[in-house]
Amino acid sequence: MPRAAVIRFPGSNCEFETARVLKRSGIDSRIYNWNDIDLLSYDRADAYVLPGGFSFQDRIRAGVIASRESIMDLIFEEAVNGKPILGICNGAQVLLESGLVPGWKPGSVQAALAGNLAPGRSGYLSGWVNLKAEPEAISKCPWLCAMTEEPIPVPIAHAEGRFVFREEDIKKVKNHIGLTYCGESGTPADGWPENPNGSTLDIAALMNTEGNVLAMMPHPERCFNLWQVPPGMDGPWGELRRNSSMKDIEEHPGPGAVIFKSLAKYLGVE
Amino acid sequence: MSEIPNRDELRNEVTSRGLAMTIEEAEKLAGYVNRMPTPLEFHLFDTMWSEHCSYKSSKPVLKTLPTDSPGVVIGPGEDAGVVSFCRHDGREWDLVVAHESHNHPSQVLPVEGAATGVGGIVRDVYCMGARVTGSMDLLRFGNPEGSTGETTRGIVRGVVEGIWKYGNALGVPNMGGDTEFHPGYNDNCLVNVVAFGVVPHDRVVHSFVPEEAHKEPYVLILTGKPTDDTGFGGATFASADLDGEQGMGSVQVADPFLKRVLSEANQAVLDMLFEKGIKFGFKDLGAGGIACVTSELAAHGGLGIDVDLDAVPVSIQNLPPEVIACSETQERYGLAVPASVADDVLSVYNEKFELPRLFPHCRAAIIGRFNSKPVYNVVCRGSNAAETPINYITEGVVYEREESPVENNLPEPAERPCDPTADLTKILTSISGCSREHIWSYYDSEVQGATRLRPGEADSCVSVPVEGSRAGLAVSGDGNPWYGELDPFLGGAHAVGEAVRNVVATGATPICATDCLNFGNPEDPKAFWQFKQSVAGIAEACNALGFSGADYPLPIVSGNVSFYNQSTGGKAIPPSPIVAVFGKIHDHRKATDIVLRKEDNLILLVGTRKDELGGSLFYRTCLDYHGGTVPVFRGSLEKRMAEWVLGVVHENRAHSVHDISGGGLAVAGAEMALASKKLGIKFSLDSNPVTLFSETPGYLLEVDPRFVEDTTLPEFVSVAGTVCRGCSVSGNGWSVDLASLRKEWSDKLASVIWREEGV
Amino acid sequence: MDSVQIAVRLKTPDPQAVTALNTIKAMRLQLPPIKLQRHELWEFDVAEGGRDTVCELVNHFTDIVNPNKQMWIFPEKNSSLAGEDKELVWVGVVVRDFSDSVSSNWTALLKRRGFPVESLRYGVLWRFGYMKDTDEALAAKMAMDLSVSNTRTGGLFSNPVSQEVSFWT
Repeated sequence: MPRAAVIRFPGSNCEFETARVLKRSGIDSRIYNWNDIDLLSYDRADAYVLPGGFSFQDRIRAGVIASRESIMDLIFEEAVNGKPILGICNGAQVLLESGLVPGWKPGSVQAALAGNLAPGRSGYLSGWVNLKAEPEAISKCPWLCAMTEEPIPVPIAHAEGRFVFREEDIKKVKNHIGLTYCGESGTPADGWPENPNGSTLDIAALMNTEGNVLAMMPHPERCFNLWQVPPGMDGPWGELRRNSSMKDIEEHPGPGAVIFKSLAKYLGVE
Repeated sequence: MSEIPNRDELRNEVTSRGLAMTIEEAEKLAGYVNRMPTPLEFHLFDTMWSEHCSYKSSKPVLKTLPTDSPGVVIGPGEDAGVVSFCRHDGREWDLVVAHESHNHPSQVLPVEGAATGVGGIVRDVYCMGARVTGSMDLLRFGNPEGSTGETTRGIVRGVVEGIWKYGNALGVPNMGGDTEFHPGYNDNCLVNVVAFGVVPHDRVVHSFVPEEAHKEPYVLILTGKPTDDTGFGGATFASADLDGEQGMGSVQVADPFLKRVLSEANQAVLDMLFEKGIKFGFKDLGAGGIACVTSELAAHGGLGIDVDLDAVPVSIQNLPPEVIACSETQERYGLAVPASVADDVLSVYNEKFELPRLFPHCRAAIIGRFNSKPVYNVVCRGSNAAETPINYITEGVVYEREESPVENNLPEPAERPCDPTADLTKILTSISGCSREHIWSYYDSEVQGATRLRPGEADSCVSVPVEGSRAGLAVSGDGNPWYGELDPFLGGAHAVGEAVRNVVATGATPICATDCLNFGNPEDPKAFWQFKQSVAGIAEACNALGFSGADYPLPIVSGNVSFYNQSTGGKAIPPSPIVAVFGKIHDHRKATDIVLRKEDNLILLVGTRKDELGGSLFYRTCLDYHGGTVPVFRGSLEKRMAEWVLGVVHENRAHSVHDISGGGLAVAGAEMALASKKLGIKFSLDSNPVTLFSETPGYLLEVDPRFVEDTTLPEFVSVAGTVCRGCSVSGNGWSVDLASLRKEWSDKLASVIWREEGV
Repeated sequence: MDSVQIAVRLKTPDPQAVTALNTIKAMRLQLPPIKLQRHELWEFDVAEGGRDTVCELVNHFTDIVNPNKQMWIFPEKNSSLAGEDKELVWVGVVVRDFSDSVSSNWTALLKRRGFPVESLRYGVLWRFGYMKDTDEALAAKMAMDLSVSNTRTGGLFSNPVSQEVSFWT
């Protein structure tokens, strides 16, 4: 069975559910502490996930202190080796601050996840958004390869989730888009709240050049099961949820399962 | 040491140290130690004899609450209550619940006050060995509208910020709660916090040193944030009058980052100790800091302890012993373990989880040794800082307070004009009746991946807390200040009743409750009467609403009393008993929400409407009237209604369920439609204020039309309307288009409080 | 139009500054700062009333300054700030987001409430205290190096893609 390592930084808080959904997708997963470096270097995994949470409580700015932890040297090396690496929420912030995404020059910080921009509010926002995968991302990203072009609803929960780039880089960025925020039927996001944080080009998840590293702000591990979908939600997933039998509500995969199914597919899990 | 001091000498000490204890209490303390007490002893006893720790005014009254039921594992007395929850994979799991207030600190420092409130309550659950799976906040603020609402608006923004900054970072999902606004809280907000978690039954941890410590040497390990002076006096502060600028320095600084790391480290330590089969005691540090935790761990285990303050990791040098011992620095725990495993424990904290690297001076250290001599002995820089017979510390004090009834005969209004369309619109767009969505939008309610129903989707939040088990946990907290004000007894009874209904509406059977009793000055006979009335109301409701068979009540297993909630002018808050109820649904797949499912389904009304609109949203919002008759509490009817609703849900025949409370049937129907977005309700009832807006307890149930053909409805159930297409609610001669009202309904709080529009 | 700055800091040690200094220590710099202070820096463009207007609004909104936990001052150019060690060589660096909702929402709120404030900008002022007798130009250079995150091993205090960083003078 392929193995995934979930890296816990001081202050991570989504490591358990992330490890759980990986297991349920047929991937053996284990949580490693930030200082389990020797253990992990000896016992390399097939894929790595930096889970959500508040590493170092977002002090200075989200992700920056964790990106300086020694274990990131190992993640850096594995990223360059082409191993699949996923950062969810705070994990995405760590990947950007480490210069792994967009990774034009690995190790250089070339993008930011800045504070949410929303009308009349600042700080944290939690809620559900719709996401759509870019066709090119489906073909090259191990975390998206089982997706279709149908949008999926996924929850967000963050205060710093706005992808920002230098003006001169915007053109290049287009090749790195993994997921964008969109309307319920897949139409481009019509401002707030469909784009919940003012992210450039409605980007919800960004890849490195090779596509093996994905920095994703929404939380797919929180909608792995159909029963996690809100009952009042619009669109086909809401319909499915409201009309599902007791059997289906437990057994039917939720909209976020596809992210982990993608990895399983990529790693050859039957 | 010196001779027994006289009254004046004691008064000097009490005054110069800023203690809250009375002269009589100081004399009692001097008598215990037979000399002038040391500064540390003064501060320790000041904390232990504070209202917050000793329940000195409330204890005799609290004894009247029902606490016993077959499922109760640990009732009130330890840091949290424990009840049996489910069996999974051959293992028994317990539910751990705790409920507290952090009112006064939140009024002066909203962000830190609310944050440390959340921090304190989750520590209470952690220290029973549990994983914390959720928290709730029950908030009471003044009137935020208009120019006089400025202070309140700042407090609301700060409290919400404190809750999200702390709670979200901890990784504990927010499972809702409620928010009420009443001008009686203008000078004294209420921040009540609830936390809960699950633990295997054989791994419940106690907050005292175990039996084994009588046979082999046990040590006390202090772990967490280095001790400083910031929280000094906090426990005393929590129950003193809010007096201008006084007491400002004593509010704690919260550190959710350290707390999160510590929680994981604690879990690793507990796992290790259980694996080795070692008995231990574990307790969080709250009011009274090191002094309380060391003395209580020892005293409740029947031992004495020697504490070495020089071994305490500190972040400020040369603190006086009483400050080190009684400081309320956050994010600390005390652990009583055999000396033989102390090094292993220290290494988990200091090496595996690297506490010293993550925060300067942070580490676990041995600071005390238990012994069989029943003395609480503290040494600091070579001299005795305390030497007290240990049983006196935990013995407490009790006062019999006087009571005097408050007359409150406010009649019904002379006239009750009612235009349902206009009135319902007005209610839904009022501060009291609008959506709380903006508040929840700051909270993470989905971390841990076990959330089944979030705030706003159902009457209570539901989670699936034991991995692999289908057992669902429903939680709700309630308390209506407008009822409490008119009738404190009914305020208490309906707090239980509403929380029970909210849990039942999701299909969960109530298994236990907690309470937080927020009142004015207990030395004021009127405030004390209100307190007693509310407790009697809670007791009556709990006795009526037990669901464990036979005559067992709904047990109150944990709680808190908060007195002295009043302005500097001495005006007390409205009597505010706040109750949380916890329910279990055997199979979470059956849980019901408030989202309407299908056009042409029938809406059943459970609970005949009565003319009892006192304290209702209709009187307050539409008539601007603040009197009248509060709904009667009908215990046996409430129970029959709940059992009937549970039966329908468990047979999978209820498509959606919503309880009727604030705003009555019309508001309940509107909320179902708003949650559904594309469906609404057409009521077939009379359009009078009693039918539409009376807050007589009840439920609305959506069922298939066939249900009424094959089911005999009990006398308290009738057909009230049908589900229709389009987001609206209507009746004979009235109709409200909710689609167009939605924005104002959902945005009202943000507009008034966060954007200060139109103020 | 006056531009009025206020600097706000916690009365107790700021956990952000504690963690930041701790992180700097782990970087094993040759000459790390000995002390680090964090202030919130609010800059108001005031149409009338200057400092009086700012005083008034500070008194109104405990979100900006809560006197129960914070101290605030009108910092003068090259002035010293409360609580600093005068022996050390201090360098101030201001970090601001190119766009942030704190600034825009507060601007809108203050206008709505009738304060004569054209706009405001929120930022964080980090003050680095270097060992006494450190060359001032060198201290300034070291502080700026520490303040810009160009690479994953570089400075800490600003992401140059979304934030502007400047010396505070």
